[in-house]
Amino acid sequence: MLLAIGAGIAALSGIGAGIGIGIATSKACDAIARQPEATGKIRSTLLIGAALAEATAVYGFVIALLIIILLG
Amino acid sequence: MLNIDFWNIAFLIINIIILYLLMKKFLVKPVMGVIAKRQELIDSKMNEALMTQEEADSKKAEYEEKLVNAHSEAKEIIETARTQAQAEKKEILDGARLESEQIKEKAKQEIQIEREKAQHEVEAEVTQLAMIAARKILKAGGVNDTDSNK
Amino acid sequence: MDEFVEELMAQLNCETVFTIPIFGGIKIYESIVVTWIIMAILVLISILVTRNLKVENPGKGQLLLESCVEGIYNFFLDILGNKGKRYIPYLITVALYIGLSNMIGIFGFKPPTKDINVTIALALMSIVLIEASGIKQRGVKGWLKSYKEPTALITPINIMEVFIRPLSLCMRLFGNILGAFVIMELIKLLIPVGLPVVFSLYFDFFDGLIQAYVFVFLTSLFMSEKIEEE
Repeated sequence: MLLAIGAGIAALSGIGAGIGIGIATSKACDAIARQPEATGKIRSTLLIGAALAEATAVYGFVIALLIIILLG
Repeated sequence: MLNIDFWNIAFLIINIIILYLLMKKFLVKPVMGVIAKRQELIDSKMNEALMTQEEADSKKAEYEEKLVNAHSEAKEIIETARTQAQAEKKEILDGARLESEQIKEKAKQEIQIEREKAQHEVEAEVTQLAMIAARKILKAGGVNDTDSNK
Repeated sequence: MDEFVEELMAQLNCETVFTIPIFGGIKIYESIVVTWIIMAILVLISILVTRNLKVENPGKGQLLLESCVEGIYNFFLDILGNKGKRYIPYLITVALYIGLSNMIGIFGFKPPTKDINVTIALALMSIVLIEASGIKQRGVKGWLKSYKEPTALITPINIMEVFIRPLSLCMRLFGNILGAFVIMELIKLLIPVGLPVVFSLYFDFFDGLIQAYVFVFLTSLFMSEKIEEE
């Protein structure tokens, strides 16, 4: 039971990644609206940024998995 | 999934190094080599084209110069012909004028001579007539001094 | 549900394919065998596509191949600059390897990147290459000095970075692929027909390629940091 709670808490790191990617995407939308000719560059930068931000959520996921598998 | 094993990591590293060597040999080198070769080819062709262009340009300039020369030559020829013609014309005109002057002079002289001749003739005639008249008067016998003095 | 968990765990577990009977038995995991398969596929494909390359009048296929390879090459060249030219083939290899291993789940193999040993190996190679490029570019002294930049106060953080960077590289790749795999299994359990295709498109193709891209991009970025700094 405690294990499941711990894993759930670890998975909460997804919140941060979600907020981060949301902010990044909104800024990218702004940037594209302002400068439609730079769309390609903005998109690739956004993808990298999203992948990096997503890593945080992935770390949480890995930790949760480790808790369940190694301790369970 | 999570059991870390030294040998597996080592094997994987060896595998990736082998893969790197193979990919370098079979993918990157041939493709980049072909691209480099094509670039070389394009460069050489470009140089050739540039050289040909230059040559053509120089030839064109040469021909243009020649053309200009020909133009000026033609102009010169026309000019000389014109001046010559002008000179000839002038000469001819002068000659004609001179001739006409001469003819005029001659005609004048002739007229003078003619006139003189005519005068002489008239004079002679007048004297003759006078003589005749005088003779007639003499013949008539009546001599009028006042008349003869006039 | 228990059955599903059992199956999921079995799927997640990397099986030992065979054991080499030296040093008390070296276990060869499935990921190594799949790596061999990937190597064979990559080498065969590259031999096939580069079979008759022509300098003049290239065909459509050759043009496509050339623009692909040149595009990837120029992408790395932009990041690394001329000094890092010699590392580009390695980065291309790793990108192709990770990309194909992320996608190979479609063909019924277990993606090797789902095995933490593979990502550890890749991250180790990356960090060794990053530091080696720094040493090669500036000599040992300059390389050691680079840890004191911008101030000596930061040195511990710089040293920590040496361990954190490969760890984050390794965990990012591993976690992404594992997460995608678990989610795919869950979707397959819920709706076995139709829907998994759409999600497979995202998780296997898009996410797999993005992760390969991010991995080599970050590696080359760290490397350029080591090479370029004066």
